[in-house]
Amino acid sequence: MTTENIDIKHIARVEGHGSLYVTTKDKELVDVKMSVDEGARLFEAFLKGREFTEVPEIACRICAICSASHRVVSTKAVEKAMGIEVNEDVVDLRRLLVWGEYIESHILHALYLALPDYIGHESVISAAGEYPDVVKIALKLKKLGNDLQILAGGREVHQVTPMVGGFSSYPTKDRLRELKQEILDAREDLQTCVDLWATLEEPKFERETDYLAIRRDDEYALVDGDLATLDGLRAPVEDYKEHIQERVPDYSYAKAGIRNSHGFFVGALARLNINEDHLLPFARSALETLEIDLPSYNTFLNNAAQLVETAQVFEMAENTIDKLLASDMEWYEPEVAPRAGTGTHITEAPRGTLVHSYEFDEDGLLTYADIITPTAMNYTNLEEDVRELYPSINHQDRSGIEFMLNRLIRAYDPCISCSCHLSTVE
Amino acid sequence: MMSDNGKPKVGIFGLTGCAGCQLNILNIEDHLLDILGLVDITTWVMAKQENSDGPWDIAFIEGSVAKESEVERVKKIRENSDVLIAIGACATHGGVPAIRNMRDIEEMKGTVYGAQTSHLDVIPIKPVSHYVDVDAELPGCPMDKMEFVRAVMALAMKKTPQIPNYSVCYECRVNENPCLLDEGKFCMGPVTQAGCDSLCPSYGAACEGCRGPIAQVNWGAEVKILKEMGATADQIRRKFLKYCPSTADMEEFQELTL
Ligand code: SF4
Ligand code: SF4
Repeated sequence: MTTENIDIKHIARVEGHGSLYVTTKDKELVDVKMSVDEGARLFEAFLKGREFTEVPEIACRICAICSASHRVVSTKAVEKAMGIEVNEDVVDLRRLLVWGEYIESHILHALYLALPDYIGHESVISAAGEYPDVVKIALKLKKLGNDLQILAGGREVHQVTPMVGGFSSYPTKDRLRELKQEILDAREDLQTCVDLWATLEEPKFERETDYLAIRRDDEYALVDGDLATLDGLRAPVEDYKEHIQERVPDYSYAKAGIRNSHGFFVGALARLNINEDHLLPFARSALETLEIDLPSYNTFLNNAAQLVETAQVFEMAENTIDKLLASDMEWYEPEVAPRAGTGTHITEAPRGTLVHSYEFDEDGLLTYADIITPTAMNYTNLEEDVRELYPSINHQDRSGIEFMLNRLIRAYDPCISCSCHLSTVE
Repeated sequence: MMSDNGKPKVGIFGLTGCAGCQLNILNIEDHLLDILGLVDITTWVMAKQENSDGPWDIAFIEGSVAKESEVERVKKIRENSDVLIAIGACATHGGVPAIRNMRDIEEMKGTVYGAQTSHLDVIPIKPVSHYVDVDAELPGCPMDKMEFVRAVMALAMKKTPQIPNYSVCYECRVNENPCLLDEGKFCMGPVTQAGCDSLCPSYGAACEGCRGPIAQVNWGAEVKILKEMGATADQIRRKFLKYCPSTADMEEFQELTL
């Protein structure tokens, strides 16, 4: 009997530090352990005692790539706790900030981090020689996402303008008009990427699992909605603990999401599976070009799904800008005063469902925080996928096996620094 | 030690942090290809599959030292690099997570992980300079991407990157911003090192001090202003130590009566 360990230390081209340990005996898989090696920062603990106004600013530092989503979901949870209502223009400007993040994050993942696997390169840097045009388009599209984040948030990472109750400054209508034109002009570039992706070969792999996302009746839900699953669950976000559980693996700094004692999948593919009926024309045509049949159970298609969502967000951003341009954009300042309260909000960050839940005392100081990130939710599912994939790749040599495992993990777009700040165990 | 192509070998490393400073390198879309032309990035796990174990001419480190194994890691990187640059508030001053150093760590572990905490390697969070010599620091949360571009250009010419030694207020005046202290906002501009082009005040938001204290910091004057505006001692303390908790070790800070 030969026991072999396939240890992939420091999974590359993902955000943060993670490793995968696979033990096999005579080519049969014995054990799979995904380990998050990022140091524990204990956000939920050190947020305690902070004023409600500063919680979103600190909480968004959990993760840079999703900083806009963390900022917005955290702000909404605080506002729910404080009973603060904001006007529609503020809501729309926040949405615009998040649309910018989607464009930036999806392009970064699909084209910078995942694409090299499909075209035989070790990185986008090395791919730049052979595919200069694609790399230039990727840079341009990513910058467009960042420009939107700057327009609404003042900076591309850890935005500075979003506040509890509104923004510290607002964009001009001229700038909004310019940005809309840039998005319209960029459609062609995005189409080029979709067309290119349609020529790539996707690994064959299917495993039906539980898909979870937020959902609403009137549009493709990205910022707010009810909790939903592909098999029909609809539940208010406040009840999240009934539907999302966690375990604490003793080999990792992250907790792992479970549902009905199994893993579940969150992210672009889950959202497409659950919210397909709300796709706008540009996204629908991308879906057709990429020949994705929904619902899809192939984890690897999560990358292609990100491109479909980018098209969706292009159109949503165009519509949101139109709406802002048609409004008076008279920003009013709601009263922002502390009170005791609790607030939970759930959003879709680009890489999946994200929970922030808080309690405050009467001075508005935080007494309890529970934050569950997408990577934590996907954790168990990822290990289950490795188990399922392994028998189909175990005939390959070691480097081939490692390559496929790396690809599988990357398809999740894990954001590992996120994943170490997980919930309190009750 | 230069690469065969005569360019300096560069390694980019992340310790414990949010990866925002590394992301900001990828965010230099307009100059990324030029930067890549100046140097040879031989190690960057976040962006590359193939990564060398050194040596490097220049190493950039993001994130703070938050566990025992990271102490070894920074020492190894230091041994194998000619020039070592700490990037971002975590690496230069501890960053927001280092707020936890002022609390009971066992209790905090329990809050987050429940009973299962024995596998956690958790030590007080420190900036990189606590363990090894650094040649320069690019502060900020995140590090300013244009400051990074200027630093790479300087380093490629074998110069040390220059960081301004005046306060954010100076940049505010240059940008003709109205003073936020006048509007009753608790702004940290007077005690914070410039270099971000007074980003937050230019957007009407108070400076939170993410770039750390300036060299000749006058904490006393800032405390006085904030107190007169109605800030409590707790609020001031929280503000002063938000991004740069290692500031608490500064002599001037310890003498401060809030
Ligand atoms: S300094 Fe700020 S942006 Fe940089 S890694 Fe630390 S938390 Fe992230
Ligand atoms: S204004 Fe202050 S908080 Fe804002 S980026 Fe500059 S130093 Fe950091």
